[in-house]
Amino acid sequence: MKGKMRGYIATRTGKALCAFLLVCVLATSAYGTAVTVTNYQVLMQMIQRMVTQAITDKIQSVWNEEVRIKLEPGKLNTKGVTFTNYDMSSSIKGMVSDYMVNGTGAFSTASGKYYDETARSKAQLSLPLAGSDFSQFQKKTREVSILIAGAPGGGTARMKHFSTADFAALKLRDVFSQASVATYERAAQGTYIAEKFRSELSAFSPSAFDSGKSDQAVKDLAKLTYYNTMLQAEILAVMAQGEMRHALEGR
Amino acid sequence: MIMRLSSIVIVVSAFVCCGLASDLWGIDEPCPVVSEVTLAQKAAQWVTAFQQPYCDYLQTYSALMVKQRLTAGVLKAPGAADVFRGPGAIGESDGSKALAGISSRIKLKSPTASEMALAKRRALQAGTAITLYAAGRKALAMASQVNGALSGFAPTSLDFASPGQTQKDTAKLAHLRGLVESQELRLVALEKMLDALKEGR
Repeated sequence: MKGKMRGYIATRTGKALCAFLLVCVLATSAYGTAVTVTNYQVLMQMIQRMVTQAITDKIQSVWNEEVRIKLEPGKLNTKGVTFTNYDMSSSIKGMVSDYMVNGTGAFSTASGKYYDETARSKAQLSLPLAGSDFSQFQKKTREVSILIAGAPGGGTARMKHFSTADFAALKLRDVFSQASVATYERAAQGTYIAEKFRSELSAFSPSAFDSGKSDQAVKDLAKLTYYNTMLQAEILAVMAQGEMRHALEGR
Repeated sequence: MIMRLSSIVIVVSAFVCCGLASDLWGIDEPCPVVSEVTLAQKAAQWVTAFQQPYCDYLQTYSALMVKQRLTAGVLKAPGAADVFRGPGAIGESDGSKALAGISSRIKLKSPTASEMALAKRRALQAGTAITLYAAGRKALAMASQVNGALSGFAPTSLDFASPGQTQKDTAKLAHLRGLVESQELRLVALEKMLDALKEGR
């Protein structure tokens, strides 16, 4: 066997095979040695770059999540809150400055058609209902306002012998009537807004704040503060209008 | 010849064994010659080891923050806001019913427009006064219920709550306050309506 092997290696093919094996062994050894050698400078730069990138990506993703949470809308649905949309200011202004200045009061020579019709109307008398439709509410409020405004006085024809004090008293009475109408309409608007606020906001359950995130609660708090401020402004307006009328009431 | 060959094989084998052993023990000689692929693989292993604790920390911190935000408030006043729920404006039906009764009793013989207006105005006044009284009575009951619901809560407990919980409780209180104020507005407005219906001057 030994001799056979020796004979085989002595041949050209055997030598070539041995040389090939030797080259393979050397190449493998060289490769195995080369891969274990490390250039730390390059490696560290590479690691630094990769670690920085990986951590930056993580921070970015956590921050994106944070921003997403911060941008979540509040629990209070503002579309369901409409009480701020009801405003009778222009209507009140029109009633006081247009209708009352020309159509009612001691110095007016108007026919008093509206007053007559409203006073003699056989329709069932009813209060403006805060829970009803807004246009219907305004209509009912206006009917009462016309009754408060009173009839036209007929002008100055019957005031030939009036003193300055008499004229002043008449003018003050007209202004008082205007203030009464303005107070009534503004207060009526107040009752409508108060009722809308109650029905719309009481439908919302405050326990929803507990199930949401505190960021959402802060947003809802801001909304509620806004609504409460609007409500307080309305209280102030109603009270102010009433006190103005009260000041004109005299002794 | 065989001997020579064998010695070469032994030397090469020893060389290979040394290389493998040094690789196994992690003895890496500094050398400018390097394979980029190998370096990248090694770097990736290191990066994973370095980034993992930091990323885990960030993830835990973020989850903790979200959990804190989801913690419920300390104010428990169940039903306090429900007091204001109900169909129709408070006291309105009482006043409307009374007004319907009063207006049906207005019977004047050939009245003038002024007399009719005065009678209607007085009826409206009575109806509004009844509405105001009923609204006041119900608002008083509501206020007592809200007081009762809130009296069990000690505001000092907010001192031991997180800012997130306090924010939630502030929102609840703002909601309740709005509802209370809406009734305040209603009463003030009804009172002014009643005043405006009264004759003066």
